[in-house]
Amino acid sequence: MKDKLSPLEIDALTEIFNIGIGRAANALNKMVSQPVDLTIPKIEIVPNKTAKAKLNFASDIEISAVTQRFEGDFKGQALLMFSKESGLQLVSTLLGNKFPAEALSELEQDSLVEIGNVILNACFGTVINFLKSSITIEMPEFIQGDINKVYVYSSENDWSLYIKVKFSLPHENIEGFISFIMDITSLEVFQESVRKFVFGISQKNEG
Amino acid sequence: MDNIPKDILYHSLNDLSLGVIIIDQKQHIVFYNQWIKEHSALSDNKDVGCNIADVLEGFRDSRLSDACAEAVTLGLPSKLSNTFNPTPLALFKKRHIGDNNYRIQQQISIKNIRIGQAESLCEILIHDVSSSVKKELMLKKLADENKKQQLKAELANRTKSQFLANMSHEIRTPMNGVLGMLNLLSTTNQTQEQVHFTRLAESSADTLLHILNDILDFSKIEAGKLIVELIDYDLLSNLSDLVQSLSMKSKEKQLEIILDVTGVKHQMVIGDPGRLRQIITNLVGNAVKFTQKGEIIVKAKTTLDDSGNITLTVSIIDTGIGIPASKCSTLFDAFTQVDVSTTREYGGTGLGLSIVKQLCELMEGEISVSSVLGQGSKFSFNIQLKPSSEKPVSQPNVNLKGTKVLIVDDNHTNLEVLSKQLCIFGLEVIQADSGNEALKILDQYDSHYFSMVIIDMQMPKMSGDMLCAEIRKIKSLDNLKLIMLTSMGQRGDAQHFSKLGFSAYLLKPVVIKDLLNTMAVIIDKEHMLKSTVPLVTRHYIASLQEVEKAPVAKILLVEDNRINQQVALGILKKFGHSVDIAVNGINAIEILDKQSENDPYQLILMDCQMPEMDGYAATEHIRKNMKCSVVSTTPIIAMTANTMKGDKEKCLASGMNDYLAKPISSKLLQEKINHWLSISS
Repeated sequence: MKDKLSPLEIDALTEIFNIGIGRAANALNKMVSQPVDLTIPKIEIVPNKTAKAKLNFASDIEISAVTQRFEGDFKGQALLMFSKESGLQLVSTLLGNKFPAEALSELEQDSLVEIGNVILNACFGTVINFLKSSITIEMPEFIQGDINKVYVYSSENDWSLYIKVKFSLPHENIEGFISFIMDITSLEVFQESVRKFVFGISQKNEG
Repeated sequence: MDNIPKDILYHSLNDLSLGVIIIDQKQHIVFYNQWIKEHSALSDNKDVGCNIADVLEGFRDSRLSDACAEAVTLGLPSKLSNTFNPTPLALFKKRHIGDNNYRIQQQISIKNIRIGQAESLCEILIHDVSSSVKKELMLKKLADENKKQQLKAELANRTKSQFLANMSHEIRTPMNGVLGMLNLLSTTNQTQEQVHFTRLAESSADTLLHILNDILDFSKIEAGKLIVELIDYDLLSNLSDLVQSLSMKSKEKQLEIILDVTGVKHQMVIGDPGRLRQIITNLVGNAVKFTQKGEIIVKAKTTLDDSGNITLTVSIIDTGIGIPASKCSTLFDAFTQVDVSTTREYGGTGLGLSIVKQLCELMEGEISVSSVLGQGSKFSFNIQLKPSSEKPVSQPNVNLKGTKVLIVDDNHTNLEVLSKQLCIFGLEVIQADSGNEALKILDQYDSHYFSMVIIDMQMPKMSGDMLCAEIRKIKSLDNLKLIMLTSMGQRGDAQHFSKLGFSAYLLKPVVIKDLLNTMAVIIDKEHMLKSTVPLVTRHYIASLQEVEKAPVAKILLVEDNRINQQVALGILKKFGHSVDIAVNGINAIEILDKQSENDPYQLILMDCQMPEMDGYAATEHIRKNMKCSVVSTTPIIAMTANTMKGDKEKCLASGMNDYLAKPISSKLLQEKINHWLSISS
């Protein structure tokens, strides 16, 4: 990737996602009425293969994920991921189950989808608002399995913009990741939006 | 797709079996379908154009309303799960409109529909998930109930085991009295009839104690309190010693116990020797009980697996009454016996095999049984051991390689096992299954070919001593050494066999180590008769010496139970000690405070459970608060009926020096007393 984002642009992006994920944490906090810890988003431009490797949090672990695909000005996949155990624990906490379940029922899967939906929408909303982009976002989907089931890229040689945030509910020992992965063709458009946004800010500041 | 007539599109949307509501940016209703009309107060399109919040209860200020706003303005789709929003909208089952008891369980999807550039609409799709909710609720209830029952059952089981453990503790205390008194009674002057009765009473009490121990073990296992120890030990000598001691019992029934350890490749191991003994003792005990004639083979072998663990497999094969195939599967369940009627004939709690099975499982192994009715049974178990880095204490320190030996025994299994074991050590073995056969073989070979003949005493037609006499008649075989194997050890045997012309005699079952040592000694030192029961002999002499030089001491006995006072007093007096009694901890401290410094108590025997002040508290007081150094260092031996793991540690932690489990055995008590007296003097 030749035209990497400038440090200023990376800062701007980090800030945008920071706000978005902050809103997401807020939404999650309301649902679980518990403090939610977040890490600062880490933004990188890496090959697809690396992105996939980075997504995976341990080999052969079963992942519960909620994903929303998006396309338009830029194209990619937003993900909320837990280990299967953390997912179960989160649902149990939210629904006040007396005995932790060994597997999610269909309706409980839906509740995990709703949680993911709320969190990812909060991120999407911020990004769209700040960057004035036009994207179509698909309905959330629940996926359970290993990383190959969760994330599929089109070409091994392409690059992607990779954002990862770790969040946790310290009281319940629940841990998860929010990730956005965009493919490179849309990245150019995306970069353009970011530049416009940065330019807008710097202009405002100068003015 | 664009060519599809609007009529078709309208009708398909209208007739969908899920609810569809379309609203605009101001949340005014644009469309709702037939399903909505059938399940809500909305009817016949008169509500089109109204604000949805005004006509459909549950919409205003709801998460649904927020989601719709996000969909229209930002294009974000949302999914509202049933679990968080069960019945957000006023939608009801058909014919129950308005009745909140019949609200539909909903799952809602919201997405935006963009028409052209300007207009953005929001589509709300409502799925009726009432039946799924009902189904899941039922399943959950069942699962919860299941779990609850399971927890309840586990708790009940633990409670039961705890109760059993407590009860056996309670029973032990009076048992202590009974056994002790009987023991004392047997030392008094009794008529022959009284001696007989006392012996019967003693043996009954012993049996009862045995059953009690079974129950205690069983309940410990059930309560999860039985811990397997990990210590280095010599597997071979452990097995040999054990089988030798077990054969005492089998001798009464003229049964031979044969130990085959040719498959044991690992002598030093890490594991729990006590529990292994318990398993084998139980299985061999059963075999002896149910076998009238024949033999019992104990066959052991070890194998090393890839992960570095040793698997010990032991089979106990008998020629007894056997077990019907239908009973084999329930044999290891608690409280089960082959036949209720066998209880009357053979006795037993029915707990033994269950304990054995659980012990095997505790040691990561399993047990199985195969049997032919009337021909015998074979119990096989395996347990996991770890290899030990320690060296065996006493490996047969002999080189008998190439020594040629003739073995004479009518029992073929015995012949086989003994030959195999000797071959391992490089001896050359030839077998004969009768005296005549042996004489024939000796005749065939050169007179110096064999160094030694090992002869079984009990053989049909020509017994061992008869064979010996025949051999000694042959002058050319004067240098041939003879070793006698006998199941019946008696005093004076050594002299008797020596006169006959034997160089040594050994008691069956033969421990290979002893046999090799004996052979080495014979070859080294000619004409010397060596009896290889050194353990018994040495022990016998040692015990005689102990009685002679046993010191006499002034002892304070702290015990609240009057019977137990009498028992302990009786034993202590018998050994010549002078004893004072304290009835509880406080009393003991008073007595110790007042004692004269010139003639202090040399030892304190302390019961643990006592009213007012128990043994632990009393000991702590003695160790911490008593000024006089003579008292604060006096050895204290605990006597307790608690035999759970950790009790010993509790005693030692409170400052006691040693620990004795009730019922008190007079031998053990005297040993402990002597030990501590010798240390403190």
